[in-house]
Amino acid sequence: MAAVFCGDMIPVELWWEILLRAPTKDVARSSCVSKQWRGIVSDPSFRKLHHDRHAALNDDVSDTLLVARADVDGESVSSVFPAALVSPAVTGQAPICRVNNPYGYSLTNVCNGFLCFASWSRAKVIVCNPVTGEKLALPRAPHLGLEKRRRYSRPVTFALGFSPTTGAYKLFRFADRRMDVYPLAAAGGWRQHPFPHPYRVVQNTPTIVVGGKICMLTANPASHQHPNDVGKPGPVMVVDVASEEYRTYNPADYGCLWADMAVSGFELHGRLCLAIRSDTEIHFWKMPVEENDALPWQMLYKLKVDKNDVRFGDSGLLRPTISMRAWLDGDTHTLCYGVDNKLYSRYVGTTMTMTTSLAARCLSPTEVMSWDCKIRLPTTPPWLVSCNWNIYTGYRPSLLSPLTLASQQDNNDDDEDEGDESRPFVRRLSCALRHQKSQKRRMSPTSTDHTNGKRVCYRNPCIC
Amino acid sequence: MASGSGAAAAAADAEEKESGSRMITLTSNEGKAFVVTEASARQSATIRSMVDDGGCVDKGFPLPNVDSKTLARVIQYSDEHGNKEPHTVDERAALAKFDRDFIAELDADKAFLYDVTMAANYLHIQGLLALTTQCVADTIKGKTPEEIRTAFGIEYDLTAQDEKEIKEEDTHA
Repeated sequence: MAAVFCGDMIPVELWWEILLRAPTKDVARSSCVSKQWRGIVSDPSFRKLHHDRHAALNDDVSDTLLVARADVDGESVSSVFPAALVSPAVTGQAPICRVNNPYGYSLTNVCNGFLCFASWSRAKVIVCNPVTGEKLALPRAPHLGLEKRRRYSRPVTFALGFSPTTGAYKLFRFADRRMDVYPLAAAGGWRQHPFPHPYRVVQNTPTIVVGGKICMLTANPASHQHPNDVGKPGPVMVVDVASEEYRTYNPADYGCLWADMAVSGFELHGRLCLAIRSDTEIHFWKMPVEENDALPWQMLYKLKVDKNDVRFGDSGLLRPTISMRAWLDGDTHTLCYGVDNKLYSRYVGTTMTMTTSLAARCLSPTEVMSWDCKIRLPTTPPWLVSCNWNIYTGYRPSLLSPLTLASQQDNNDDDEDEGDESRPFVRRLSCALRHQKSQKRRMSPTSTDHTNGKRVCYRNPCIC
Repeated sequence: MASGSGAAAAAADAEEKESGSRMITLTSNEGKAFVVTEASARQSATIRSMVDDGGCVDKGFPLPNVDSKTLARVIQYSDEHGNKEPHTVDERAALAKFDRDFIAELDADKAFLYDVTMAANYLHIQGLLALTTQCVADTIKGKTPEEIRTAFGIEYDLTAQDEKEIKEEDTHA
């Protein structure tokens, strides 16, 4: 394309206006265009404005991240990769970032452009922006009033939340019968709220931030009474980030007594979507509209699953902590489901982005659908026992430095990036996901007969 | 004192009433005169402040930075937004459709889009500026820095030092 713009004539404030409206990824790339652009993009006030604008709009499709964690030399190294099935901008599968934290840290949740790493109940929570590589350690949470030796085993959950209405970030710590809140970029420090709800979060399910609310999947309170109830999801707990009030939503009427369920949640266009699997099926449910209990949960999809995908425990039941992941790939309108080292995907079209009535018309929830595509992800090599990986949804990259959210100067240790042995494995993982992408391209999105379009591929992912 | 400000307010009221019918002349850099309603002209913060500050309304406003073709297009926008105030859902939808068509036409002619963007910036027409800058921002999407430089005619002026810094940032970004 010929240069029809005379870019050097455009005043800097106009470029500023233009870049404010461009997506984060493009803005980040733009810093290599010219000196002037570099100046704009690195300006902290530009970054703040850009973040505020895009965080408030909340209209960009969120990204999904593949995060592999490995313990290397006493440190916990998290490698963050894009897990998008189709991402034209990604030419090589270089990690977005690699975050070194002290031993014991792992990614607890993703909120807008920030990754929130936490360890035990009183360890400093670390907030990191993978685009800029900046990290901020937040002040320690208050004591839980327990004897010291139990501190590691005490189940707590940290979650970083953001309210689009107030534009504020807050860190939450959920523990048994109490909730502690730390507002970022504000004075006052930690404050405590009582929490009458018996708190037990389903393991291996990151909290999800949906439109200014933190959603958590709690385990069934009755599960200790009967072994068959283990792993059965209980109510969904929703905490409003701005008001710090919470409420619970009763679980959907799953229609059958599923003793061995696994659950995973993700954001679906401003609503929480729950994926719940039993022996043979996985159901996708959409949470009722807030402030209105009269509306029932809505089932969106029902898909077949292969019970052989899951390794069974000695009891013959599914392990309650089976790591199952489900998410929507926004770019390709593809529903993804991963269990152990298998990844399934199903094209669902844009109906998921439309109104509920339309989605209901297009798909009968009673119809059990098949997956379009199945691939095997590489299994974790046995010599890499310490490496585990997970999928995190709801990532909306921003340029905002977490350091601007510091209310007091905390020391942040920038560790040197070092090679870790998990890298080849993680590269194979992301290659496998890319392999998925080429499969996706061949699929015709207009194909109505999905049984014909069904494709099972066991081919090895590309060697890299 | 109190009566003085009261009189000023009354004068402002009178002006307000009058403004609906008052016409304003805008002159392009080629000397061509465009007569627009005041409501339309007030879309531009630059003209608005000139009108509010002093009464050079009768003489008209010369716009030495805007050519006739661009000004005609800008007036097309400000007429649509200034003269009608959308009240109903349909009216708002019609206005949104106007914006879409307006920007689609501009998008096809990048050089003209550039002129209109510059004029919107110079005249401080917020709505038009938002529309055009968003359109330019969409052009940036998915482009490599090299493609952006070509598309916008930007000269590559990064020094070796800058490049080194970018490389270092890339290790974590």
